[in-house]
Amino acid sequence: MEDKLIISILVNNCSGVLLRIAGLFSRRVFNISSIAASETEDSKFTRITIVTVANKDEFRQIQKQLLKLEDVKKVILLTQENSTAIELLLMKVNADESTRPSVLNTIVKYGARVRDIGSTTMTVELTGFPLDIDKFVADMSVHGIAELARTGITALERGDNTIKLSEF
Amino acid sequence: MQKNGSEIIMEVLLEQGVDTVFGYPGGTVLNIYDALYKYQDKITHVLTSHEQGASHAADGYARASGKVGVCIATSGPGATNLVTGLATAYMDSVPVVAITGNVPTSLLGRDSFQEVDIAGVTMPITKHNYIVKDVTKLADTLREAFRIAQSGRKGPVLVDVPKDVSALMCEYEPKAKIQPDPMPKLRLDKIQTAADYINAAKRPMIYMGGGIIAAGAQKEILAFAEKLQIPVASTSMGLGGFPSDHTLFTGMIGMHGTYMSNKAVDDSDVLIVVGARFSDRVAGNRTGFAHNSKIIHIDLDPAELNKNVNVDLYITGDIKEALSALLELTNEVKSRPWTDEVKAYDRRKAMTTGGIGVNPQKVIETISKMNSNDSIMVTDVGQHQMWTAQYYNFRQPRTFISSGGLGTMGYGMGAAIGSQFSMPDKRVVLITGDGSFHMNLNELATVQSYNLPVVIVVMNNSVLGMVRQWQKIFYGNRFAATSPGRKTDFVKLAEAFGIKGMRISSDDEIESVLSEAFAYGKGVLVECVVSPDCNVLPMIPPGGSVTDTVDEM
Repeated sequence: MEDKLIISILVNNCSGVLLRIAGLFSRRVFNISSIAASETEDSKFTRITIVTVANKDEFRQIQKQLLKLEDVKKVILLTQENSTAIELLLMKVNADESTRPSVLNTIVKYGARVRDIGSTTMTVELTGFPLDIDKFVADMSVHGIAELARTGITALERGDNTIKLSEF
Repeated sequence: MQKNGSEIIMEVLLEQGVDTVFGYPGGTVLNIYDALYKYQDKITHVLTSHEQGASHAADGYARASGKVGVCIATSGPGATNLVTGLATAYMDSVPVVAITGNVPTSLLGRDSFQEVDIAGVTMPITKHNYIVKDVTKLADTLREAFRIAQSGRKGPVLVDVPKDVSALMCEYEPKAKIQPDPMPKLRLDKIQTAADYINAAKRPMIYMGGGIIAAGAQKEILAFAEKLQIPVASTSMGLGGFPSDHTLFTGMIGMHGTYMSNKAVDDSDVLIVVGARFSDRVAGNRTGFAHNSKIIHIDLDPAELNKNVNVDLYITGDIKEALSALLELTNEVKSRPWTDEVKAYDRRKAMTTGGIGVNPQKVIETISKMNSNDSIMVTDVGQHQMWTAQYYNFRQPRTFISSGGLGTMGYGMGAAIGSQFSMPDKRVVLITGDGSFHMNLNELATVQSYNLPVVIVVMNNSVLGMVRQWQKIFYGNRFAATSPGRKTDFVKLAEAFGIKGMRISSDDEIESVLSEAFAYGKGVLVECVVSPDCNVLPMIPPGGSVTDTVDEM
């Protein structure tokens, strides 16, 4: 069965590393639904979080191919159960004087935040689970979405487990 | 001591035991070539006609010797000309280090003259690559390149050096030769399970690949097969890893493998796959491959597990060690009815000339008889390559130098040059076709310049035979672009390059002409006139299995 999987990859923080990862996915015909990357608490390393659609066997193949890359240090599978997976949304939604109250109601309902107000739009931020963001976007679409950007999921394991940089 | 970047490159090459490099100079490697001039007593630089030739030469050097091959090219077109050679080495897991120049760091990213992002270009066809922007990191980066090229499953690594970096001075500290990473530990419980499977097997079969040669496990596989009386089929990459004339050897496996090999794999109850990767040229039908069999897969690369064919047991690690461990845990078998059954699958047929010219099978068999066990057979890609794989009696590892995975036409000339440089005392024979040879025949100039005693046998059927063969089977004899009607006179061509040219036009000339060619002691080209209708058979069509074997056409 194919599932949306969250793969957390610890890599050397060096130029071209994101290209190496993305290139591997592309040439091995693995898909990337979203990709997020940034430096970790140790500036020598970057953590890349990729959401992909794959079954368990395909994941194992992805993991092993990734581990063959010189810059890849660790690859773990994060699941809904064992991780906190969060995404950030920025959205510019149509909101003039007349519709603003109703827009604000939806914003409050989802715990989103207003980041900017223009003459005909509002820029809203929501951080949360991707499904909640989907629902928020759907609810807001009745007002008309002028522009939207999502970061893709970034995720960490639950509890005290870490990907443990010290091993490297 | 203080040295400039280029001298540091030389010093690190010497640290790693490199005494021969293949390359072609140019603007951004002028500093490196200046250092090569200074170090010419210690490092031989071989100038090829084209950077592609240099990349194949480094690959051939590595395959024939087991050492790392090194090639050097300038930025831009020099670097891109290495690409086919690196991809070839990558597909066949050959350790190569390529050093390219690039424009000075201050000009990077500005579309400067002869600038190309070669690290970006070669990312999918190297194990790893680097661009070195800081001269203080140059020595260690190059050492890393050698470590990566030789560690685990071997492969090519590229190091791109901008021109200013190859000129800047810095402190150089000599270090010992870098050691490859240790092999992963074998799981003994898995070895035991494999031994249990094998001990219980009635119809065991071995399918071995190039991993046997890479691991130097030829003795272990022979001992294992003999102790248990297991028939052995080899991929083209594995040829030489098991003696071709051994009674247990069933020949090549796969698309142009013997019926005996393919049928035996299909009928086996336990299939032991060693150092092979179930490529589509072996396991055409991935889901039906060895469908009656418990498959044990032994390989160094964990990513090969279930990549193409799902297996029952996987053993990751050093093949040599794994086979030694298996040898201990398995019970000797004096004889088994199965080996006779397998022998009865032999339905090899003698080839004919197809009406005109020479029988290519006879040419290969004659060379096989005239060569010694350690002679090196290099091929290009196409029908001649398969005829060589099918009819030559390989007796030692590293004697079949051929582009297996990538199927690179034009590989042979460079690879033969590299093989001869790595093994100056061995006979090197290149079997090529008129199609492949036309691609990189410029390297005849290199053979002549360095006075290399390479014997080049051109199977000239005047067509692009392998593609034409497919057009016959799958495209209703519509021979699009496979009958170029070239009028190249190969004998005169060789002579124009300063090489002796000879010709074999009929079967009765084979022995006398080859004897003369082999006795000549210098580079020589022998053209064999072959019918355009000599085919490579048997053939399993792509996606098919043994039941789809085509024996005649």
